[in-house]
Formats: sequence, structure tokens, C-alpha cells
Amino acid sequence: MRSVSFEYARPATVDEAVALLAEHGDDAKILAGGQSLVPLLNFRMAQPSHVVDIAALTSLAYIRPTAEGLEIGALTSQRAVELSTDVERRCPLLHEAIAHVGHRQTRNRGTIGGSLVHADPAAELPAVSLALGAELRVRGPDGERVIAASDFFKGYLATAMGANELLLSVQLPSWPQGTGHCFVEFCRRQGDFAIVGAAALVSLAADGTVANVGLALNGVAGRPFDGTPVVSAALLGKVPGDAVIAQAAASIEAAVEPDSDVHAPADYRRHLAKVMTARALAGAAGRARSGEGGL
Amino acid sequence: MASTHRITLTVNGTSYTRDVPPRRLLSEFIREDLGLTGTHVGCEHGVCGTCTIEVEGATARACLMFAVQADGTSITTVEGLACGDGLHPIQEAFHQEHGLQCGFCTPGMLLSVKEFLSETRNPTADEVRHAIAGNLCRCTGYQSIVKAVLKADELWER
Amino acid sequence: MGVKMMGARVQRIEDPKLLRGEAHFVDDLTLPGMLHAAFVRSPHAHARVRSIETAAAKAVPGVVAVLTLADLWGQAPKIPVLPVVDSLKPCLQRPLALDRVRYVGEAVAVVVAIDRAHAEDAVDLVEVNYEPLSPLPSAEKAMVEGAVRLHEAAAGNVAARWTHEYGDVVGAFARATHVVRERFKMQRYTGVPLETRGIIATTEPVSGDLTIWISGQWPHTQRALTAALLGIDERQVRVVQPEVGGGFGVKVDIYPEDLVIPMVAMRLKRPIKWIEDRREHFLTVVHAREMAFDLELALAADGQILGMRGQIISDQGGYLRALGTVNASLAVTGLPGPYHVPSYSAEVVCVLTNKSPCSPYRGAGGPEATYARERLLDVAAQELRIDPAELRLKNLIPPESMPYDTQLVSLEAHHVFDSGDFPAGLRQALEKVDYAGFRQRQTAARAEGRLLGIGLCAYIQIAAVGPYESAEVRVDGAGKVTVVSGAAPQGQGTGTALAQVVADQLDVPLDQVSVVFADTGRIPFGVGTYASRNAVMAGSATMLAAQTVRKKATELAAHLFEASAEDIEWVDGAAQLVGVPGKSMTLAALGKAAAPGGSRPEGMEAGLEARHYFETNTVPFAFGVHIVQVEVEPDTGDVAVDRYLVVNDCGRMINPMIVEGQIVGGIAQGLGGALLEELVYDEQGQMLAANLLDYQLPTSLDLPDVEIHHMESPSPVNPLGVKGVGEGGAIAAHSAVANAVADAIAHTGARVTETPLRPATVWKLLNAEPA
Repeated sequence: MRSVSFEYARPATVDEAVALLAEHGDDAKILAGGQSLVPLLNFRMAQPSHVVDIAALTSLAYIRPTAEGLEIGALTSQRAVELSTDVERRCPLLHEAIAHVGHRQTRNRGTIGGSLVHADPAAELPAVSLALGAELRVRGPDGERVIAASDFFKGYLATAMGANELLLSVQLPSWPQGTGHCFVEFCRRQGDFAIVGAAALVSLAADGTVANVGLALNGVAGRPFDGTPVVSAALLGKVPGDAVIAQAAASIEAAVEPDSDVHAPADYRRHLAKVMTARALAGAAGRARSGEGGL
Repeated sequence: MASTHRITLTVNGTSYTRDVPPRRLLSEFIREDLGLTGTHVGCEHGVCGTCTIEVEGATARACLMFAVQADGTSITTVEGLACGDGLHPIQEAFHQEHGLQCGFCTPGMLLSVKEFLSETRNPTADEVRHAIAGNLCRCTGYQSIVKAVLKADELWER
Repeated sequence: MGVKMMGARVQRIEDPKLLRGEAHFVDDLTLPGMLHAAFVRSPHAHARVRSIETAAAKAVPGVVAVLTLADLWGQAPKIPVLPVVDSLKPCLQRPLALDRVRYVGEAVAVVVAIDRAHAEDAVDLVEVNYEPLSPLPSAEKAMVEGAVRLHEAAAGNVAARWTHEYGDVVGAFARATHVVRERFKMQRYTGVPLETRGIIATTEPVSGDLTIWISGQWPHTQRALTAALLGIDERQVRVVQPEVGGGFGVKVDIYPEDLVIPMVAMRLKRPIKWIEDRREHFLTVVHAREMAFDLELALAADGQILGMRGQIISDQGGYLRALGTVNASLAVTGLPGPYHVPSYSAEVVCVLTNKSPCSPYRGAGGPEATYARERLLDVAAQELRIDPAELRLKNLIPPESMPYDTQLVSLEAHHVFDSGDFPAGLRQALEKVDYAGFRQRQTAARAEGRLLGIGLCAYIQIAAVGPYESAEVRVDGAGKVTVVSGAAPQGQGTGTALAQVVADQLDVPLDQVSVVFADTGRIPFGVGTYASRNAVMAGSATMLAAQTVRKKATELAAHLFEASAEDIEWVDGAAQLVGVPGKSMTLAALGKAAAPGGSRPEGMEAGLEARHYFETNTVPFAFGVHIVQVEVEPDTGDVAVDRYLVVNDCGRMINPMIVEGQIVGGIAQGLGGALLEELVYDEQGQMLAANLLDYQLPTSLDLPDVEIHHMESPSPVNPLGVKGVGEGGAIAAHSAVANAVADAIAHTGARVTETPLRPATVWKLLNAEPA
């Protein structure tokens, strides 16, 4: 399996990269870590005439605490995210999820931006960014814009980015002090894409009722599923005990519309959506209660 | 036809300069342009781990990189493990514990194990199984590989 | 003799080269002027080929040739089926499609270029005009009245059907107290070695001789058939196997590519290399295992088996190739297994479908039959309210019945079990696993809502196949021993095993023995490595050749000492005149003395060497018991394999370390079949699992350490007393794991009849409406 022929460029600056994208548009592909793109090229499922390697844009590799939370450059390797104490402290949901992403060898080179832009609906990081309420900053020939995660993921391997835009960074907002987090995933073998995964955040008020909740699922649709509205209705203002969580999970089961594929039939994915939601919410609520929650 | 690019990289301590088309995979380049055929290719889509090498000190799947991306880097392949005619302690451990049968997955396995043991002492068998979960083997059923890694932990002074 | 090598856990002589990355697999070989091939493959499961336009492809820079069947052959050959049955209809495959394709991936044309990438560029530009036809995605659909006929001669798409029977089956079922009937299905899966297929062919400029390097398993047969099918003199063909990265049976075939590549090499007079990519592998490597069983068991009140009958439908794919009948044969003769089944009648039907052709994969019908039988026994145990272990103990063939003639003759042998104590094996396994204790824990766990299960499998495997294997043993003037074997291993460590055998026979250190395999240029006759045959066939041939060499050395020493052979004793590897320590000759000295021109006894040929063909069709049978403990997670259907225990009897063992490696490796594959692996085709005959993410191979986290206990019942049918072991793990594990899952959920009324038992499947079984 060999890729089609393509021209290769390794721009030295973001402006150069953006200019190349402007020039070639749909015919160009960004190469970051390559863990998602190169298999597509080898299978000839993607046949770009130009590949723009952004490895030299080292200014896009950073993890930076901000007043709002945490900003991570698109070119930051997943391994760097995995090792970062800033991520562990300021975004423990991401810290928990990153260990589920592929294998060590793919995390060494794979980037956080690459996973987000590739937008595989079974992937972990898109769901995490959705649950957090992240914002993605992109730059195109017309300048920069910020896209909310809830607007970013459009469908199977499709995002709101234009063909001539480059992802610069993702802003992960802090959640209230004491928020509990939990990422769980069901897959048949470690390192596989999830059959179904769930990312949850639960903040409790002083009286132990839910003040804030975030939930997203991977593997239940053509794009990460935003479960926050559904579980908000079920949880806000209530003490998150087993029965309440079960009801929230049942609502999710009713709300998702998965497809069947070679890995799992639709009704099973629907059932797993309920199971994973319940586990994630219980885990997050438990951490919030016990004070294990982070920022 | 795409233009070629001149790349210079170090593999197992030796510097090479070559002209390559952009689409040449690093796995292909190592095997065919450099003649280092110890790195094998099992799937060309980054799942089996057979082609695992070290790039700038970190494991990578050679089938998921183009040679042009490796310009300016330092690479270690299986041929760079042993000193002279002998065996690296990890290789010796695999030999003692029957950690290979057909040997096709072995080079990639060795590089993954090397990274793991560089960072871990006294691993448990369970930790070893997690560490090698990204390297497929179809012959051994993994049990003897786990034993080999535990033995390598003893043999390798690091 | 010196240190006893037989039974020793010797480290493998194959290892250092492999560990250092210095061993050569076929894709590691490069020849000057070599070109690379890629194939144009059908995207349709079933279609007529109306035309093939190659002009655009030929114009791609770097492309040397684009060839169709008509370009390469006037009258194209067809790949024959080797073990023939009377009912066999011709449904043979040509090297490239002529006017019809019968599975997605079937090759239609070949492109040759300066490298693989350019070849693939040209493949994309070959325009094939297909007229799609109705696909037959399953055996059921293929057998329906009026279904399209895949091959003219095969009415109802039945390529072959035959029956085995003995005893009074009708009477047995008439007087049975219980009749248990069930249908089982095993899914389509296959070996998936980490090294895909590959072949290099080249012609030698002066003689025109053809040399083929292939990642295969039977070089001599490869040579004979290649020569015959290409219409050239066999003396002009040499087949060499370099290192092979796993075979598992799927590389024992004459594939279409195996004929195209040499033909192209002869036509272009350039070396041609073709390496299968992983997607091609899933589409076109031989598939296996897909069989449906409809079985009945007749039992007396106390659980004694009175008879068994049934039908097997084997989904064979679009053609029958060289070994296409073997899986069916070993399945229909494997159903009774290690049990005393006094009467038996079973029919196997080989059905053609629009999928890749089927052929042996590790076990070759054994896993299928074992799974159906062992499941049926558990179902019977449940219905009769007898413990499944008790039911088995009641019916296992006792040791005093050995040798036990099953009255079944497969395409490989007459199945006569030579030795073994099956009940003792099962008892030992039950005791070691603490079966009784587990049942108590299972009951307690159920009360807590936890689903623990234990699965048993007692199996027997045909542990070699004839008709012969070759070995040549030579000692040179430096005392170095070279073994040339007709075997063709793919990682089994056979070199080490044969070196151990020779080391014992000749009393030489292991590192003085080198072993050469798999080269038709080095030994004129050979059979190869499949069907667990190396230890028995290659081992016996090597032992006997080495014995002859030893005898010759003794006689030569006697001659040189002017004594008789009885006066020679071997001390520390040297031939010594009894009572005269000064009169001693090392093996090296004898090797030198045996060279032409020296003094030898009347009638002795020069050279301290011997060649032996171990010829037999009487083969041993190996036995084992696998017991597996699992836990099923009710919320997700996930199956965790908690414990795996084996009692294994493969006769005498040459190297227990190698034996254990074969067992565990086979178990991983059988477990993959029970829980993970499936070659999924949709209703259009499109393959949905053509990469390693969708086809799930077991990883290091999918099975626990396996506890192995050995029994050794030496085989009386070969001089080493060994029995093959390679396939046992794969045969038993699928069955044992499936039975464990079934046991975990049986109390809910769920019945396991199909695999793989993926989480979704198990969950559905747990949540199905009660029947």
C-alpha cells in the first residue's frame, strides 16, 4: 500500500503554512504527527497533491496555563500532554483520557491537534474537548477565528474548518474548583478506538446538588455526541445519587442514534451509551464529593 | 512526478544523505535505500507495531512516517541494538526465554521493550503486558515474551 | 552418548540471527534489475469481465508491463485440487481471471514497474469493464434453488459432498433414552501471519532456469506444481524458502500469484518481486473455519454415547484450490474425537460462495469439529443434568483400547489412535484446576450477580501426515555436521529440534550442527511443514539418517583399525577400539577418511553421509485437555479470561520449551477465534474486515499465562516416539473458551451456538427474549 505521489513542503512559519493552504486548498493536507493521516494516504483513501508538514512550527507546541484554564498548542504531542503536570492539575479529564489514546508509539508522535482535526467519531480527544466546552483557534488567509467545540465537529472525519485553515491551539476552560472528572471507555482491546466512551464533569454546589455538568460520548454517532443538554436536564439541582444518574443515563440511551458497523450493532452501542454515561457520571460525582476534583 | 528531497539522517550512529521522493515511507527508506532490512513491515497502517523503531530517542512506527520527515533526525533500528557480534541484554533475554518463534515481530518488539525498560525497573508481568499491547505477535501467544522482558529487566544494567 | 538432548530445554539456534535483524525474509531480498509487481483486483464479489484496458496504465512512468491472462497464456492452466474425492466437481482457478471473477480481490491483471508505488499508480489506471452478477454471500443463499451457478459443473453450488459412517446409527437413535440436537456455526477466520505472502522469481541468464523465493511451506510441491502448470521441466525450477514470518497453513497452497510472477519473470527476463499488502492479505489469503453443523447425539440414560449423526456445511469460497477438500475431510472425520462413539454417520457438503477460497489453517477442520462436538456435549450434559466433566469421563476412550481404530479414513490418514490415556488426562486437568472448587465459587458468585464460567475441551489431533519426509546428514572433514531437511518451517524451531536429535545420535555438541531447510536445490525430495508433521516426519528421517551415519562411521573405524564393528565403542564423540585407548578416531577424522580416494570397506560409498526418507502414512495422534475460566461482565458482555490450564500429551518431546511455545501460540489463535476474529462479508460480498483494526488479532492483554502440564505417551509408530503439537492449541482453545462463556451464561437460558463471542453478541445472548 503506497500513497499517490505528492509534493512536500515543510514551512518554517505559520504564515507560510497558511499561504500554502491558501494556494492549494482542497488538494493539500496538513501533516502533523501523521498517525491518522499516513494510514489514509497509504490506503489511498486520501490523495492530496500537496502535503504540508508543520513539524517545524514549534511555536505551536506548548502547554500554557491561562487565566481561563489551559491552552495547548495544536502541535503538542500526545505524549507531552500525558506527561504534563499542568494538564494533570488543571485538566484532569484530559489527563485521564489521554492514556486511552492509541499506544505509546503513536502517542510519541501523534498530536492533540491532529486527533481533533482528524475528527474520528470513536476518538477520545474530540469527546473530551466537547465535554469541557473547549474552544479551538484556527487561522486562515482571512485571519484567526475561534470555534467552539460544539460547532467544530461536523461529521465523520469532517470539521468546521475550511480547507485553507490551520488549527493553532485548543483552549480548555477551567471548571469550578472541586469539579469531579471521569473518562471511561469500552473497547475490546487496549488502544483500539472506543466502541463507546464517555467524558464527564460534575460540579457540586455546597448542598451537594449538581451545579454544573458536562458530558460527551465518542463512538455513538458520526461525530462526538454532546450529551450536556440531556444530562443537565436530568441532573442540575439534584443530588447525583444512583437513581438520578441512572435516569440521566437512560435519557442518553434514548437520545443517541448510533449506526451498526462491523464492531457493534446499533442497539448495543445505545446500551453502552447508557452504561458508560452512568459510569462516567458516577465517577465524576464521586470525585467531586470526595474532593478529588481539580480546578 | 514529484520532486525529490535531499535528506540527511543518522541511523545507528552512521550518517546517510539520500534523495527521496516525498511519498517514500521511512520503513521503505530504511529497508531499501539503506539496506537495513531488520525493520519489518506488517501492515502499513500503524497497527501491528512490527515496524517500530526509535526516532530521536522515542519509539515510532516507521510505516507512519515519510522519509522526508526524518531529515535531521537520529534513528535507532534493531541493527543498532547489539554491540559487535554479541547480543544486547534484551536480545539475550529473549533468547533465554524463547521470546520469539518466526522472528518477524521481534525487531519492533525489542525497540518497544527497550523504551519501556529504559523508564521502568522491576515491572510486574501485568505492566509488561500493557507495555507491549501495541506490538502484535501471532506465534508466541505473548507469554514467553513477557518472561523475556522480565528477564531483560534483570540482565540489562541501566 | 554425551549429554542427552532429547527432552532438553535447549535455547534455539535460530535465535541470534533473528534477534539481530540479520535473517532474511522474502521482502528482504533484492536482486539486480528487480522489478515490482502489483495486481489489479476485482472490486466485485461476482462479475463477468468484459474487457480490460491497459493503455493508460502502461503510460505511467516507471511501468514496464501491464499483463492480462491472455498476454501470458494461450491456454491458461488451472490450479488442481490435490486430495480428490469422488464427488468433486471442477471449480478450479486460473492464475488471472479469464472472463469471470468470483470474490472481491480476485486478480485480473498484473502491473510490473520500477517500484511498488509506481506499480500501484498504474493499477489505479487499468480500466476493467465488469458486468456485476448476483453475489452469493453465504452457503445458505448459494444452495437455494435457482441460485446463480458459480461454476457450471457444480449444481446447487455444491463442489463436493461425501459421507462417513460406521455402526448401526439408526438402531442407536431408536433405542436411545435421550437424543440431543443442536446447530452450531463457526465463523470465517484465518491465520493472518504477521508476514504477508511474498514471492520473487527470476530466470538465470545462461541456463534459463527459474528460481523462486517464496514465503511458503512446501517448496518441493511448489516446484513440482509450478513446473507442471507452467509447462516447464521440473529440473529447471528451484524453489527456496527464506525465513518465513509465520505460515499456520495459509501459505500451503499454489496461489494464482505463485504462477503469475514466475511467468512474468520468464517473459520479461527480469527478476520480479511481489509482496502482498495487508489489505490484499485479508481479501485473498486462504480463509478457513466457516462451517455450520447440524448434529445429533444419541445417549443412554446414564449418559453413555450410543451414536452421533449430522451434517456439515462448509463455506468454501469461490474456488477449490490445492487443498480445498482438507478442512471438510478433517471436520467430518474429527467429530467423534477422543470419545467412544459406537455408531456414526455424517455428511459434509462443500459449498461455493463469492468469498476467498478456503484451505487449511492450523487445525484444518479439527477446531471446527471439536467446537461443535464439545458444545454438543455441554448441551447434552445440561439436558441430562449430568456434570459436563462426568459426561466426558464416561465416554472418553480408555487406555486399554489403544490402538483404537476409529473406522474413519480422512484424506490424510486412516485415523487410528496409537497411544494415550485420555481419562487420566482429563482427571489430571480437573484436579489441577480444582474443578470442584470452581463450581462452588461459581455458585457463590452468581448470588452476587457475577457470571463466572468454566469451559472444558478434550480433543485429539492428527499429529503428522505422510507420505514421507527427507533428511540428509553429512559429517565433513572438520567434524561439522550438516543436516539438509525437506521440512520447511516458519518459526517452529525445527532446526534446533533436529540438531538435538543429531547431537544425540552422533554425540556431537549442538553448535557443531547446522540445519538447512526448504531448498529444492539441496535435496531432491521433500514434503514440507504443515499438519504438525515436523517432529514426527522430519525428526524421524533425521534420526534414521544420523543413525546410518553413525553406523557407517563405526564400520569405517573398524575397517581402519582392522577390527570388526563390535570392537568399536564411542567415547566422548570418538570411535575407539575397545581396550586400546590409543586407537581412537574423532568424527572429524572419520569424515576426512571417508572422502573419495581413501580406504573404505568393500561396498561402502564415499562420504560420511546418509540420506533417508521416512516413509509412512501411519501417523500418531496427540491428545489434550484445555480448561478455561472466564468472567462475563453482564453490563457490557465483555469476557475476561481469568485462567487457562492445559494437560498436553504429544508423546516424547524433543524440546519442551518449543512444545510449550507452540501450545501457547496456538491457544492465542484459538482464543482469537472464540472471542475476536471474523472475516465479515456483507450481503454484496464486500469484505468489511480488511485491515488490522477491523479484524481483531489478540494482543498481550487478551490471554493470561497458560499453565501447562505434560503427559508423555510415546508413539509406537515412529522411532522417536514423538507426536506433533503445532495445531493442538488452536484446535482446543476456540472450543474451551466458547464453552466457558456458554457455561457462564447457561443459567439464564442463553445458549451459545455461534462465535466469535464478541461483547455485543454475549450481551445480546444475555438479554434475548426467552424462547
